[in-house]
Amino acid sequence: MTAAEPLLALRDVVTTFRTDMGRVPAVNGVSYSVLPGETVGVVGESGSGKSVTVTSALGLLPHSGTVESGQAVFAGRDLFTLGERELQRIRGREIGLIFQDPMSALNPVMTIGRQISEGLRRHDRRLSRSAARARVVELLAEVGIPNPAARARQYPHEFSGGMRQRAMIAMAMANRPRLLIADEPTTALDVTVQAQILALIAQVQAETGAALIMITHDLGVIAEIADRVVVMYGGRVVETGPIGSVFGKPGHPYTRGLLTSLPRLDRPAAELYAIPGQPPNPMFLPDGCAFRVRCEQSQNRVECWTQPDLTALTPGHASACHFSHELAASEEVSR
Amino acid sequence: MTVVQEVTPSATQQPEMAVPPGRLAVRRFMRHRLAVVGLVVLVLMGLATLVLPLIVTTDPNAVDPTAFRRPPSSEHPLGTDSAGRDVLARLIAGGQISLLVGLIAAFGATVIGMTLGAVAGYFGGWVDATISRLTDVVLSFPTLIVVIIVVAFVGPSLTTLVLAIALFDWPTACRVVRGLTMSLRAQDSITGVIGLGAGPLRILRKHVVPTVVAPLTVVATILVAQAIMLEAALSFLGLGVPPPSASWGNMLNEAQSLSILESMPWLWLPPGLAIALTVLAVNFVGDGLRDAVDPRTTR
Amino acid sequence: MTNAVLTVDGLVKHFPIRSGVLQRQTGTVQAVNNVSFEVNHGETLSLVGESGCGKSTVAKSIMRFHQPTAGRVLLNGTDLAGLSAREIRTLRKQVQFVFQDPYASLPARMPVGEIIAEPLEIHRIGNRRVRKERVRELLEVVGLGAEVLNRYPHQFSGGQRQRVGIARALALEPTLLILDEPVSALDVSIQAQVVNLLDRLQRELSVAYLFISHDLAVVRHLTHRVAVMYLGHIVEYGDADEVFNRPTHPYTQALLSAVPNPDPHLRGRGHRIVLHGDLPNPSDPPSGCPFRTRCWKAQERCETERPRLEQRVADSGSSACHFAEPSTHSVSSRT
Repeated sequence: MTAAEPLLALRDVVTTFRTDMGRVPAVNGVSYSVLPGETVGVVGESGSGKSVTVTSALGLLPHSGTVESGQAVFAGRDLFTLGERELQRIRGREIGLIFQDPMSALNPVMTIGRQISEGLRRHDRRLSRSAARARVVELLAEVGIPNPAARARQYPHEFSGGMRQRAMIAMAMANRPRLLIADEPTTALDVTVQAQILALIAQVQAETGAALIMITHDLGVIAEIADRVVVMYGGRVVETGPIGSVFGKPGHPYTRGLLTSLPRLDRPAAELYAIPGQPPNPMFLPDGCAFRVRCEQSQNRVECWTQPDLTALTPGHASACHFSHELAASEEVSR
Repeated sequence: MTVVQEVTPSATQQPEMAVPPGRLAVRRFMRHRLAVVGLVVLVLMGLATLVLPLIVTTDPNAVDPTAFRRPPSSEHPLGTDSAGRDVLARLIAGGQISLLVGLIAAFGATVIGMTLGAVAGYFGGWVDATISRLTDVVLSFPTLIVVIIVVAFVGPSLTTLVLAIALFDWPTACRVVRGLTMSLRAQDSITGVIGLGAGPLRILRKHVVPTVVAPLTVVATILVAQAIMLEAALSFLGLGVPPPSASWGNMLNEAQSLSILESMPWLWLPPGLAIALTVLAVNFVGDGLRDAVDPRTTR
Repeated sequence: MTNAVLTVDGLVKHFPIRSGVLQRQTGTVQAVNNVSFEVNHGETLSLVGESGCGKSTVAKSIMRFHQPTAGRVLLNGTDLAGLSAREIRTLRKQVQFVFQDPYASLPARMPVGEIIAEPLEIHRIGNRRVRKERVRELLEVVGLGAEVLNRYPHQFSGGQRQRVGIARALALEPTLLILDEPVSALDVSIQAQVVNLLDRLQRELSVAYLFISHDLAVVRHLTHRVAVMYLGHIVEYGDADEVFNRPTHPYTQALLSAVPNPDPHLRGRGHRIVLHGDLPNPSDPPSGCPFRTRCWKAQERCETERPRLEQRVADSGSSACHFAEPSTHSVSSRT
C-alpha cells in the first residue's frame, strides 16, 4: 500500500458549463485519486458535480461544458492534454465505463454481440472476427447471462434492465481495463437486481484486479463496496477517507447529516433527522462554505464565510469544515 | 465507443431555475439574428402600410389620364400602371390587404386546427379516427386548386378568400396539436388534474391549450407565409382580391405581358419584391420561434 | 369493515397485447391478479415490490385512471363500479394522488397559488377569497411560506415541488391519499424532510395513506401494515413488525436481505439472498406459485397448486407460500 502510485489522480479540476444564464461552475477544484485495484465511492446529490468530475477527466463533457483548469493524471499521462483519438484509445481499453441507463448507452439497432466485438476489435486489430465472436460469448457468460451464444445475437430491447446492465459490464470489461468507472450503475434497478449487479461488479473486480470508481447517491451501496469514499457537495470534495472512518466518525456536518437522515430497516425510529434547506443550485452557490446555509454546526459563524480547505483529521481522513474538531467532540459526547 | 456522448451531467439540469421560461424563450429568440431581422422587417412593413397612406395621399384607384405606364418620376415615385394609377399608392394599399388576408386567414386556420387537434388528441378513439380521416382528406386536396374551384363557384371577394384559405389550410396545425396533446395526455401533469376531478373541457381549456400555443406559433408563421403566397397566387390568377382594389397579387396579374416584363420593371418589381421579402421575413421569424420554444434545436 | 377507508376486493387488471395490422389481441399482460386489501382510517398501508409487480397499476385502478378488469373498489363503503363519470369526479374529493416525479406532475405554466387552488375551483368550493385563504393555509401546512404563491414550479427544487403536490392533494381534505413513490425522485438529504412531513400530516389530519414504494427502508419508517407484491399477486400481507421482523415468504426474505445497509461495519455480516434469473414475463406467468421460478424452496407442489394468502406461521402475517417459515437470518438480527 505504501507509496503506491495512484492509477488516476485528479488535481484541482475546475469545470464550467455555458448556459442561457452565463457560465455556471459545476466542479470547483476537485482532487482525489484512485490506487490500483482500489474501490473509491463518490457520493453526492444532484448538482454536486460528482458525475461531471469524471466526465471532464474522460473528455466526455457535452459541448456546453469546458474544463477550465486542473489535471487528470492516468497512468502517468494528463488526460486533459490528450487529443480525442488518444482519449478514445484509453476509454474502452484502459478505462471501462458503466452508465446508469444502459439503454441510452447501447446502440438499439446493433446486436449486443456485435457491439461488444466491435469494442474488442477496435482496440485489438489482430483479433479475427470469429475469435472476437468467441470472446464475446465468453464475456457474456462471465457476467452471468444465461444462453450467451443466443443472447449475443439479440438486440438491447430484448434484454431486461438487469441483463442490459450485465451486458454493459461485459462491454466495459471486454478489454480488461485497469480502471472501471460506474456512474449510478444500479440506480435504475430494483433492489434484488441491484444486489446481483453489485455482486457481479465485485466478482469482476476480484478477477481482473481493476480499480473502481463508483459514483452514486446511495450511501448503502457505498457502504457495501467502497474502500474509500469521497463526499461531494456544491462542486467540491467536502470529506474523504477510508469508508469505516468516514461513515463511523464523519468529519463534516453534511456527511453526518446524510448518514443520520437515512431511514433504516434495522432502526425504525419515530422521526428522522432531516438536513434543513435544499441542495444548492450551482448557479447561486453560497460564498465560503457552500453547506453553510444548511449547516447546524455553522450557526452563521463568520468563519464559514471563507472556503474551508480539506484538512486531515486522521491519516487519510480529511474534511473541509472549520469546525470538524467540534463535530468530533460532540460525537464523543453522544457516544 | 459511440455511446459516450450521451452523458448529461446532472448539474446542467438546474441552471435555468431562476428565470421564467417566457423570458428565457425571448432571450433565445433574440440570439437568432436572422429572426430578429425578420421581425424588424415585418413590423416596419406593417407600420408602413398603416402610416404611409397619410404621407402618400394619392388615391390608389385614381386614374391619371395623362400618364399610362410612366416610369418613376417625381410625381409618381414608382411610376404608373396600365390604367394610369400610382404604383406606390397601390403597393401600399395592396400591402394592407395582402398582410391582412395573410394574418386573418392563417389565424383562422390555426384556431380551427388547434381545436380539432386538441379534441382528437385528448379523446382519442373514434373521435380521433374521424378527425384524422378528415385531416387526411383535406391534406390530399391540392389546396390551390380547391380554393380556385371554391372561389370560382362563390365568386371572388375578400371574405371568400380568407374563408377559403382558412378552411383548407388547417391540417398542419391540427396534426401538430394532435400529436402534442396525445403526448401531454399521457403525462402525469394531466393525469394529476384528472385525479383532482376536472372534466375534459376544463383540462383542454386550462392545461392543453396554453401548453400547445407556444409550439403552435411556429406552425402559425408558416401558415402566414403560405396564406400570403396563396393570396398572391389567387389574385394573380384574377380570383383573389377583386379589382379595382389593389393587392400585391393582382398588381402582378396586371403586369403579365412580355413587353411589360421586359421594359417596365416598375410595374412588377415592387409587388414581387414585397411578397418575397415578407414571406422570407415570416419564415425567419418562424425559425427563431422554433428555436426559442424548443431549446433542444439550438446547439 | 366500517373502519375501512378503502376496500379492494379481488382486483384484477389485464392489459390486452395487440399486434399485427388488424390490431388483433394476441395476448394478455396480467398486471394485477386477485388483489384484496383494506386501508383503515388514519393508517398507512404500503404496497411494496419491484418494478412490474403491479403496485402502481393497483393505485391507478383505484383512481379510475383506467378500468379494472374485475373486482371491486369501495371508497368509504361506496362501490365505484357503476358510477357515472360525473359521480366518479365527485368521489375524487375523498381520494387524492401524489405522483413520484414532482418535475412532471405539476402544470408548468401555473403559479403555485393557482395549482393548489385548482381542486377547490374544480369542485366549486368557496369564493376567490376563501380559496386564497385556504391555499395560504395549505402552504403553511406543508412547510412552504405564503411568499411562494406567485412562483412557478420550475423555480422550486424537487423537494419543494413535492410539497406543492402534497398541498394540492390535501386541498379537498381527502380521507385517503395515494402516494406513488413520493420520495424516490428526491435527493437523499430531502427524502427525510418529506418523510417527516408525511408522518406529521397523518398525525395532524388523520388522513389514511396508501403508500406505494420499492424503498423498504422508507416504508419501514412510515407504514402500519404492508402488502408485498410479486408479479401481480400479494405474496405477504400483515403488520409492519410481522412482515419486516418475521417475514415468512421467500420473496419477502430475499427483498429485505437485498437492501444495502449504510453501515460499513456490517458489511458481509448479514446473510444476503441473491435471487437468480429475471422476473417472468407477466403475459406468460408461471403456473402455480408465481415466484417458483426463482425460489430456492420450490417443489413440485408449487408448480401445480397456487398457494393461498393465509396466516401460516404464528406471530407472522399472511403468506402465500406452501413452505412459509420464519427466516433464519432476520434483518433485525443483523445489528
